[in-house]
Amino acid sequence: MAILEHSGSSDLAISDAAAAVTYVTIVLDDTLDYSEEFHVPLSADVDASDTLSLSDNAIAQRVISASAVDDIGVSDDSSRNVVLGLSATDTLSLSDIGLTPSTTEVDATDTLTISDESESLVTRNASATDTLSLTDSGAGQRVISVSAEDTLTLTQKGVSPKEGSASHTIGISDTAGRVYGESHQITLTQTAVWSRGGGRDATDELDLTHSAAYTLIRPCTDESFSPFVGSSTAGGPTPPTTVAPVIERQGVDLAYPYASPTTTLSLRAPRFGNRDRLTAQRINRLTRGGSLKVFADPQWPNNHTLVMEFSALSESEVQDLLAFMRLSLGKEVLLTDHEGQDWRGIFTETDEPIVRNGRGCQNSASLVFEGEKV
Amino acid sequence: MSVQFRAPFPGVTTVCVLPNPRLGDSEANTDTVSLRRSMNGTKRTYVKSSTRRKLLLEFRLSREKAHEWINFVRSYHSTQLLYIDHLARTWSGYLMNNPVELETFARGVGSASHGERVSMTIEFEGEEI
Repeated sequence: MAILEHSGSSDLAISDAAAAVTYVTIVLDDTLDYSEEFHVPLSADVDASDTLSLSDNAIAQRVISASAVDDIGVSDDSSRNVVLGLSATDTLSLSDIGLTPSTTEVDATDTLTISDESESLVTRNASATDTLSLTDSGAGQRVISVSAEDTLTLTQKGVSPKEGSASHTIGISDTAGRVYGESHQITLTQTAVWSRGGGRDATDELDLTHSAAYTLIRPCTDESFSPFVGSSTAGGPTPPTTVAPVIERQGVDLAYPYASPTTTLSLRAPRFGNRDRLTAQRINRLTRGGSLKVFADPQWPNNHTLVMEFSALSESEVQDLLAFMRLSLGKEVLLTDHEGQDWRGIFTETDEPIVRNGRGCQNSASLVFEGEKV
Repeated sequence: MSVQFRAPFPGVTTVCVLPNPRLGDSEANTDTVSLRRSMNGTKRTYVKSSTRRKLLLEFRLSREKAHEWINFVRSYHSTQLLYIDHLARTWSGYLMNNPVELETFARGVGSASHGERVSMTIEFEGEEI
């Protein structure tokens, strides 16, 4: 059995009227339930349409409260097992008018919710579109407050394995007569995350330095003062001086104070066995792997110590030495050693005794001096 | 015959030439073995091996050469050095003795450095290259 065309229609009119001279409450209430259904096994076209018009009027003189409320629910469903094109369309128009010659407050409020869904398991094109137009207008003569406010929330979601897009187009226009303030505030946030980029920089830093050293082997090279100092662009420690010290054999002279000496003492040259001791501030460490690391900051001080022992001194010389040591306790003195080198420093061991080994000039003494060459 | 200390390494700029060390110089490995014995007599060893060697050298110098050596040490006491020994082997390493002490022990013979002689001991630790 096949039906090419079928139509069914019903015309329904409902009219309620209530009239009274004096009533405290007047109620006009219409409840309308109307539905149409077509069930066709095989069909080329199926339409289902409702046209509904509701009008509520409440008119009264000296009305304490007047209300006109329409609750309208419209639902269209069209379904097929195998569908080439499927559409569901709602056209909804709401209009509220509140009109009173003299009123303290006038409200006109529409709450509108539209939901479209288009869903299919196997789909080439799926679209969900909402077109929403909101217009609020508040106008009056001698109005204390006029406000026009739209709150618009749009949510779009596009999900597809290959391609998906979601976009918002928002236009906002506010107009208020006798403008006191007009403001738009739009906050847009975009986040782009790219877990792996394609470009990569490559930088090579090559530091080249050069150094030069030389050696001249002559018969007395290993006996004379002959350092061979070249040059380098790599920096590093300051090379030693190439200027030989001027050695003038003499005795040892002591002077105190260092800056402007007022007390001096002259002794003969020390006995053999005098020592030059250079103590460097440095750090030695062995790594876990056994490598030896030695470090010293160039600013760390080096201590140079002179140890001298004198013999064949007279009694007056050793007494003068003891007096000089006590006078210069802990203070800098000028020492001119037996090679004519000047040193600035202090005596570090002031309790060294003098020893009388025999009569006459057979006294001995020693001193330990720490300082730097000037 | 002489030995040479060159510094810094790499990038040598300064060479100090010294006479050969006195007989009695020593050369030793720096490996260490920690030995532990268990209750039943089993021996277990923990080895720290190293390619470095410790050289102990005694020199007798003129007073002038001693001044040169003091200046050399003052500049490079914490710098890696090259040492070319009396067997023409080349070592890289560090001077280990701190302080460095020079002792004037006798008058010398000849005209060098007013005839005074200085004795010093160098402890050098490094590896042959």
